[in-house]
Amino acid sequence: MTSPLCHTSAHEPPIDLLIVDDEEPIRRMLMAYFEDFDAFSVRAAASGEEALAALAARHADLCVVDMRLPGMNGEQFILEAAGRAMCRHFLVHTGSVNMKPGQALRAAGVGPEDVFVKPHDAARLAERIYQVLGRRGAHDTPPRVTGDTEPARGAHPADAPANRRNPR
Amino acid sequence: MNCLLSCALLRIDGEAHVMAVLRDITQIKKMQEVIIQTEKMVSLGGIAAGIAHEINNPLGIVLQAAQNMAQRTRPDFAKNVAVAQAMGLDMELLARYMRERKLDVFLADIQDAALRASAIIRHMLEFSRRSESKRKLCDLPGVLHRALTLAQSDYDLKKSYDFKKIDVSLHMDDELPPINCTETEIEQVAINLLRNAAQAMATADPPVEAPRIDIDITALPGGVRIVIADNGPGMPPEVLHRAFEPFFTTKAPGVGTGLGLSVSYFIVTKGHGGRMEVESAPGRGTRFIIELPADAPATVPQETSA
Repeated sequence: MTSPLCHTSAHEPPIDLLIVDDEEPIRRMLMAYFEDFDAFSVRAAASGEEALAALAARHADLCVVDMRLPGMNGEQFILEAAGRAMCRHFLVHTGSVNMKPGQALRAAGVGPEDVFVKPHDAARLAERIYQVLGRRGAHDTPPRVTGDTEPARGAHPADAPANRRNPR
Repeated sequence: MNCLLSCALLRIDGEAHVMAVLRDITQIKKMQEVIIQTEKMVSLGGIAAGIAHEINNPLGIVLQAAQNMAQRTRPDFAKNVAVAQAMGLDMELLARYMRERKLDVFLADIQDAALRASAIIRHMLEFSRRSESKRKLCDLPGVLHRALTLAQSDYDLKKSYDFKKIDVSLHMDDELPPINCTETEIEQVAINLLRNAAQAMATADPPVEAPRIDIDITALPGGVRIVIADNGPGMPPEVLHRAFEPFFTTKAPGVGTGLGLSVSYFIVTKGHGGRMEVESAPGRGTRFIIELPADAPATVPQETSA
């Protein structure tokens, strides 16, 4: 990939992205990753309450939400923010392998393909963001950590390296 | 041996007799130990999910940090070039330095390691979630790969074996008939066999020169055959005959329950309508042969497998 990655089409404003995670390094890493692309304008919040306040100040296009949060949990935050139409779409990123969006979350537009289990490849997250916001094609996709070309597979971490470690 | 002795004084025709009953309760004692162990494993399954969450978060940081470092050292990334230029740094030169000093490889290694660790955690969780086990179309190559990954990570000093020293080969036919199975159960069978082979080879006297395990999956007219063979010390006939017997073990106390093979046998034959056999002789290694029928009934009631 040698084409310029950092140019946004003049007609499209940057995607307003809010990262909700109580772990500071995770917020910092994801912000650093998305800030590198002009297609994104990134904010972060350490709790659901903080995120609601941030959204009250300015609505977002998309929130990346951790499930286990102090105070209100990720699901409560999503339902609240969706109910008040503060954000168009939500992606879940969580350390729990068992996470499956229930009825309430699905009603808020969060399907299995919107769940990313940590550790995951941020490039897949970016692809899904472009996809749900209908921006695909306007930008280069950032390079992935994982080499395969499979689309985001929902509630699975980036890849199972066991496949790559076949004994002879 | 554990025994239970009970006596009673008995009068028969005015004459005093002692009635004594001596009962061998070795099996009962062992059953109790197994039940305690099983309960520990069940509670561990619950804890495992919590531990996985706690480990996946830091792994996420590791992976993302490595990804960011790779991204921010790319010479073809406009933002990197702009910052570098402002401080008089040639990004192409930096990229060359990184390649020269293998920093790019190190970053890739970090990412691979984080992904590998997360895959192990995921497999462990899938394996411990036995209650969800269901008969479905089975991905045998995947099952064997996962079993191998788990067995390889089951390095334990007390059990005194190290999988890294074993040369493992996995061979499978390109075309395998579809098999219905409960994946976690077949995985458990494979893990048991791999672990036994590793333990046998590690504790062999004289030591096994070049320990190896060959896994072969071949298509049969009405099913699939899985062969797991090692070049370990093998078994004498008196051990071979009792290999599938519950509680029979040749391992040191605390290493084996004597249930691995009997549970495996039960899973294959009763649970899946298959066959399980063993061939072995001293000095000739051991071969376990499992055959699973292609048309295994999908409605066999699920039995609990310890």
